Amino acid sequence: MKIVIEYNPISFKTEISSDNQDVLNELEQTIQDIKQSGKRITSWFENFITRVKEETNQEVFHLEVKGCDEYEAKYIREINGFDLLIETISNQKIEEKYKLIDSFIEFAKSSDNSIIKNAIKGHLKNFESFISANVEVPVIATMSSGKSTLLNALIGQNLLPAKNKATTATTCEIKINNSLKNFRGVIYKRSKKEIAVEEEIDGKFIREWNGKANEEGYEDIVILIEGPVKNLNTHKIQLSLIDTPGPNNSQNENHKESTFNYLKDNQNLPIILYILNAQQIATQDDEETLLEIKKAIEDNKENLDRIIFILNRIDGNKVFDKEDPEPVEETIRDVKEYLKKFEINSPKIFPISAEYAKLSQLELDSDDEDSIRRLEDFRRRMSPNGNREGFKLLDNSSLIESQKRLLADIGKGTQLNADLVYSGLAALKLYIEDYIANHHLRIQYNKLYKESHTCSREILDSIIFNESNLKRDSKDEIRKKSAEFVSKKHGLKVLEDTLSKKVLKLEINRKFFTDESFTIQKKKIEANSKINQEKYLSKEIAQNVINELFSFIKNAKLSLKTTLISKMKGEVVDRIEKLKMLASSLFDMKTNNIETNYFSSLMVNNISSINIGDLEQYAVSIEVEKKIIVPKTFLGAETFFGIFAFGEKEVYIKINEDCIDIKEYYTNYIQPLFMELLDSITSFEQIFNDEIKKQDKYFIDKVNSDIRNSSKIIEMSFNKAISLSQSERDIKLNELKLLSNNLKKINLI
Amino acid sequence: MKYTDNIHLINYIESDNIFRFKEELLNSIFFLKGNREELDKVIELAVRKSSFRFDIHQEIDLNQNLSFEDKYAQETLNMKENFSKERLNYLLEIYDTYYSKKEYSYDIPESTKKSSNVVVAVVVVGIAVASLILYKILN
Repeated sequence: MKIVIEYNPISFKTEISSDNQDVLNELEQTIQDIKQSGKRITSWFENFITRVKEETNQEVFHLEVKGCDEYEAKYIREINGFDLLIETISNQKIEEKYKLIDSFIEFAKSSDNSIIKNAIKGHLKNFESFISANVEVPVIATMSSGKSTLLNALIGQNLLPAKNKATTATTCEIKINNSLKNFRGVIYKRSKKEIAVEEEIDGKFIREWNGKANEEGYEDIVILIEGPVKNLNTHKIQLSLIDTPGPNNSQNENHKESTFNYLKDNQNLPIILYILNAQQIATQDDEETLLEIKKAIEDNKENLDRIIFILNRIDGNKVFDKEDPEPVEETIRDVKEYLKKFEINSPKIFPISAEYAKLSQLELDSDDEDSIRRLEDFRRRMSPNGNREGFKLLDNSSLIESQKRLLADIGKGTQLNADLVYSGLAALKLYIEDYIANHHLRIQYNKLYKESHTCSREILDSIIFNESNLKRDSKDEIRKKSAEFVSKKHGLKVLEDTLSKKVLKLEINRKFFTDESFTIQKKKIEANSKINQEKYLSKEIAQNVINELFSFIKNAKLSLKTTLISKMKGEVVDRIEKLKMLASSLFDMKTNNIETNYFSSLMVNNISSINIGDLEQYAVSIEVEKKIIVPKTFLGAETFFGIFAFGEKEVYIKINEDCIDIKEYYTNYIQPLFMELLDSITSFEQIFNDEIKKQDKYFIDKVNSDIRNSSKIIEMSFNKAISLSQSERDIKLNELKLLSNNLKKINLI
Repeated sequence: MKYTDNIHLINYIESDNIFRFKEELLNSIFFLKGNREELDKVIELAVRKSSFRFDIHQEIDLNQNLSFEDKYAQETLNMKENFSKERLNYLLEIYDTYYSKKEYSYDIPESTKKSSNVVVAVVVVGIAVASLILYKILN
């Protein structure tokens, strides 16, 4: 049978398959639990193998594990019972992935993009918490379980007051800083305000401030001690042990609240050290405390697996009984059974003699005979010596075999090393070191990965939403601008089409031409009528008639040169004003540049000078019968009246008279002048009409040109608006796309 | 008068100068003293020998309160726009009604009245001759 585990050391995602469907079916629930738990392979692998063995009746099977890191591979190799093939991922590759996560978080935190800013808001606190290089390990214990002794053993100094009573009145933070030579102490309030600092402290410092913590005004103080801890490599991580007040401290209910609030507020704690008294397992206090812990961290059940149970005082009477000593294994089995009550099924248990560990590290005064005696006693009883096997605490600690072997070797070294190994402290320290070096980082980045993944998913969703909004907004905008553009263009087109009609509708006053023509025509007709009445006129009469006509023609010509042209100019100016008014009524347009040259001087000279023809050419001698009045005598009246025949009488006599052929003269000279006058008016009117047309055309061309320019400007601004909008949209979309790609890189892990 | 006496009319027909011909035709109403027969002849000649044609008549508002002279002048001007037979006939009607009956007097200054001088001279000469004859008879 072959089982394949495909595992991701960053996301902890696991897929398990097998060529044996029956076994797979039997393991279905287990596999489902593994997949759902999202735990690291080291936390479920052993149990899984046990389950497989159960289902396969302990038959040897073939196991392929793909994707685990080197540490996980080492852990897996230590478990027997199968043929193993492991494909590991190098730490370098994992580091690269971590860098991607780091870069995503850094990018997201520093981004000005509103989408990212909004998305990261809900994750920022977790990011900061997960990414923190500070690892806080709370140490929780019921009264008399030897917590202070254990902490003193861990730091290798006797700084914390250890008496068989609730000694811890306030939170004490023990910061491990191997760069310091001594422990320094700082007292600060929860407001972070420092109230006391001591560069080199001893047990008195904590004892004093611990006592003060029960006093009014000092309830909220925190004691911070910082210094070196031997044999504890924290791998550049700032490790702090948090000594919480005993939760079962009946003296102060605040202590209990303080401890559990700490757990509630710090759900992402990597591990919790819980100290059990090996001599009093399953006490009421423990039961209550463990239930409270469970309650405090129940939001994240996997935290229960991170509780490290320190079985302190393993050197106590029960297992120390000379007559009938209870093997450590049994005590541990009891503890495991007990912890199942709290749904803690795979507890990490470290049997320890904190007192032995502490004493072995202290530089004991030769006067302190009691301590020396006790240390000697611990060494004699707990370490393998002669025929004795010792307490085998190492064998029963939750370390992998290779670690146990390593410590066993170390225990063969110096006395101190032997003391640390046989007291069980070395195993605990190694676990903490191992956890920080091999678990904490993985779990830290696993959390960061999950948080980043959720955050990036939110960002991607937001990007998709924004993209669709951008596209929709852009479409709406383009539609709106297009409508405006079409409307404006249409308006201008209508204006262009109707402009000529509107201009043509503008009234033109031409009456002064007809008035002038009428006057001349009337005079001409009168002259025509008069002249044609008689063919010949005497020179004198003809001269008079001609003079009168010439005088009229001369005046008419003068009138044309002055009045008519003036009226024409006036009318053209009026026309221009009308055009300007029309333009301003149609749209806001500068029309000051529409001007006229008026009329050319050519027009003024259009009228030739009057040429009075040689009248003599038309002179003729005509025999005319003239009526004359003569005295009657002279006319023969005397025949009847003699000399007395006086008076006058009419007599007709024929005489030759010099006359003018006025009809011919009129036809040849005067009529052409009238016609010239009328022609001039026609010509003026033509010039006037041409000028009006020219002005109209100039105006229409100008307006149409402006309309076309306006149309072009509208088109350009439309195109610009569209392209700007398009380009802005493209930039935003590109930004989103880039962002999306960056996020997907992380999602590809 | 005959139309042939107006050399300009003939020239304009022959040169096909219709614009001038029309003007001259209107002038000829007076020249021919409204003689329709002569006018018809020249029109017929123009139609035959030139591109002259009457326009289709179009009514052009004419204030009927105007005097004959004004109406005549206005219609001659209207003829430039619409040289119709009807309008020509209307002009001829006005001519017959008004111009044909109109008489013009030429106001000649006294000093230039040749006939009066002649009369005075004749009278003076006559008196002188009569005086001479009377003297011879008495002698």
